[in-house]
Amino acid sequence: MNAIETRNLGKRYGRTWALRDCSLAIPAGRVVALVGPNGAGKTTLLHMAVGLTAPSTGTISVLDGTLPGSNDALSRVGFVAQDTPLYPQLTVADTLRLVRNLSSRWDEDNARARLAALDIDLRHRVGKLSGGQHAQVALAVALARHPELLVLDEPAARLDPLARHDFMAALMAAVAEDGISVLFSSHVISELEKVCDYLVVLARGKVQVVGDVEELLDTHQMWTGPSATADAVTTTTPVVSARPGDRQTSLLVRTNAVPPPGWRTEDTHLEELVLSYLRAPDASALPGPTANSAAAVAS
Amino acid sequence: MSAATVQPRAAWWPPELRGLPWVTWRQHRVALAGIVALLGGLGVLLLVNGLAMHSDYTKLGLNSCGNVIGPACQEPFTVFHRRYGTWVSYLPRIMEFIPALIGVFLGAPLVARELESGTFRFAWTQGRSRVQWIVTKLALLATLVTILALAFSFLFSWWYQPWLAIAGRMQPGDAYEVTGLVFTARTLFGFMLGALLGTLIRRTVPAMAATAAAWLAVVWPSVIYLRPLIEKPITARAGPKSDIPTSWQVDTWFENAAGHRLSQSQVFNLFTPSSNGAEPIDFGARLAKLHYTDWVSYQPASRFWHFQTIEASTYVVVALLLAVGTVLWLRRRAV
Amino acid sequence: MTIDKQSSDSPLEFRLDPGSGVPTYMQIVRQVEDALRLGHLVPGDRLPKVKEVVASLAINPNTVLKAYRELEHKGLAAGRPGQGTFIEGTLDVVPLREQQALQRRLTRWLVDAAAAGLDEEGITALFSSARHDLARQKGVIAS
Repeated sequence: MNAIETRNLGKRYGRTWALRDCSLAIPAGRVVALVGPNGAGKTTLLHMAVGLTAPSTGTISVLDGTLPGSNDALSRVGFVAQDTPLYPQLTVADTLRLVRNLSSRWDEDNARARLAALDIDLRHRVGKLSGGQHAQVALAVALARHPELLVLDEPAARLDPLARHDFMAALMAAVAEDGISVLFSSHVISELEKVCDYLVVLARGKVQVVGDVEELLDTHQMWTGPSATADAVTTTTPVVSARPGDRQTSLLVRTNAVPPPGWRTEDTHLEELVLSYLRAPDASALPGPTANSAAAVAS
Repeated sequence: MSAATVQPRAAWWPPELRGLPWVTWRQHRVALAGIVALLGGLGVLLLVNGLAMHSDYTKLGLNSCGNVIGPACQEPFTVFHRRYGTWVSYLPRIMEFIPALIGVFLGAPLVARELESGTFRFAWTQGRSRVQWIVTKLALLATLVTILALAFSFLFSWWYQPWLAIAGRMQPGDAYEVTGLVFTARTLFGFMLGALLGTLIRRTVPAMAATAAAWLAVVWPSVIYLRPLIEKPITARAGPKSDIPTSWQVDTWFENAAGHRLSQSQVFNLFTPSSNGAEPIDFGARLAKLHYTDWVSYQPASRFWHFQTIEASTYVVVALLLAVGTVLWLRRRAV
Repeated sequence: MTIDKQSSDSPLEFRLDPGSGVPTYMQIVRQVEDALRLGHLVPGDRLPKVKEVVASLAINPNTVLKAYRELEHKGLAAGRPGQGTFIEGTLDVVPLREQQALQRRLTRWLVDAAAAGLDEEGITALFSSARHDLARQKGVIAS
């Protein structure tokens, strides 16, 4: 089953395309990171996945063909929007009650247990909570609905490192327990590798990279070698991006081949991979018959 | 390490609300409480003042006076008027704007606040679609304010009752606007107007201002230009039969022998003093001499319910259209 | 503050070194092996539940599952349905004599490297590169 499927999905605001030509087939049961600079179209895509925005072109479906925003989707998909919006005047208890009255599935004990373990007093007004507690309440509420797919828009952006850790720990524990699919967007790349096993990179409204993290890391290497032969290497191997230096050049290549003589190879990691692609907007790693082209693809 | 677990307070009224009705109540209980407080406070005022007024009306013997023309009624009426004249002058003119207030404080923030603060991203993704959300809220709140407005209107009608025979209720801008059905219909209209403007404008304070302005821009001209169209007024020679305070005197004019209306200056000339100055003007004699006739067009008090029904129905129809517009707009666009 | 504060009956607490370049699942595998080597874990001990590990480290559960599968593959652990993953085998301990011989050869190599002018970092780079090439040739992604 696919958690999210899109075909030529696009969204236009006025004359600007926030997202274009987006075709994805994200498998279920994964923790998917949607990465890209601000304004890349991440929020637009997420809002279309939960039915808050309608596409301008193309189609999107969730959980094997369900239309986002339909009653079926609304009860099976959870959403934590950017800045984890809640009603500040309500108490935590009233917030739980609010969602209980809106949802068809609600696990009150789950929510209360989670909040109790975090020492969050149900009588406090939501507006008076700290940033970390606020995010935890939003997450607790989302998880207590037992969604099959949970979508989060930069959930940890405003949190301090400890709060961020606790938030992700809670999310991962829920994934371990329920096997839910998670799709979250982030523009903080450094902490992604621990958490996500599927990656989508958006840049300027278009999908640049999509795939299994393990597979992406398997198929990319970081080659380092003398700058003198760098150009020669570039013509024979698909290079994503280059870091040229006086004597030595580093190339992120998309291949499994052994490096040419004089060149050293190392595994790359997720942060390096993403940054390299973001620096090379014309490069892409999309599923399809592009992997073995000898032509250089990079900047 | 255990946090205090709070038992949810039992709803203080039966039956216990669930689902979207509970959400509606919880989110708007402050605004509703404000409306109840306003109407309740004014209601208490009307009640207290009204009890005294009704009692004095009987005690002074005005209930057998009709419209206080007879000389026996002048003295008691002067007393009555001294005590309650100010109330009856000002209260209706203030209260006729309550429907606008309800639109501004309950209708406008309904959608605007969610859009402005971004909480719609939370509210519309928890299992209920935004269409279910808006339809439930509009239906429930409209029903509540309609009931409250009807009750208030009813109380006002009771309060005003002594003045029915004296001043009537056909005058525009006065008791007519608070008694009968128009007050309630305008409340519903104001609420739906606020809801739609809030949806379009997406910012709470501008939506509130726009609602107030739009309500006035619709209601005021409708009183001046549309109400006279409901039924053609009765035209009659001025005299005791037509000069009834309980009717709405739409227009008065003079005509010459040929049936043409006199101009302003011609009318003015009627009032110039006689040539020898000291003599009082015998107006009737002057009119007769010039073969001028004095005319009046009016809407009699008997047409009250006809007017009220037509006007109220129009506001209700417009309110329903605004509601449908709000739902459709929200469904189609919103984000 | 972690979610599950009740103490697990597993004696092992995992640590992560995110900057080490070693994949997370491999770090878990190694920590289990180290614990076995040092005697902190013996056959019959239960490895921490996936949910517990994930709640304290904030990592993807699949990573933990992958580590546990790797341990099963190596014959060090076995999963019992509904109960968890338990230590089964022991590490193939390299005999002490062989370890000593290897260490002597290593020391000689280090002396040669230093004489050739290689500093600490140069040695490490060379070592990593050689291991990498070996791993790639074997077709196994590990470093």
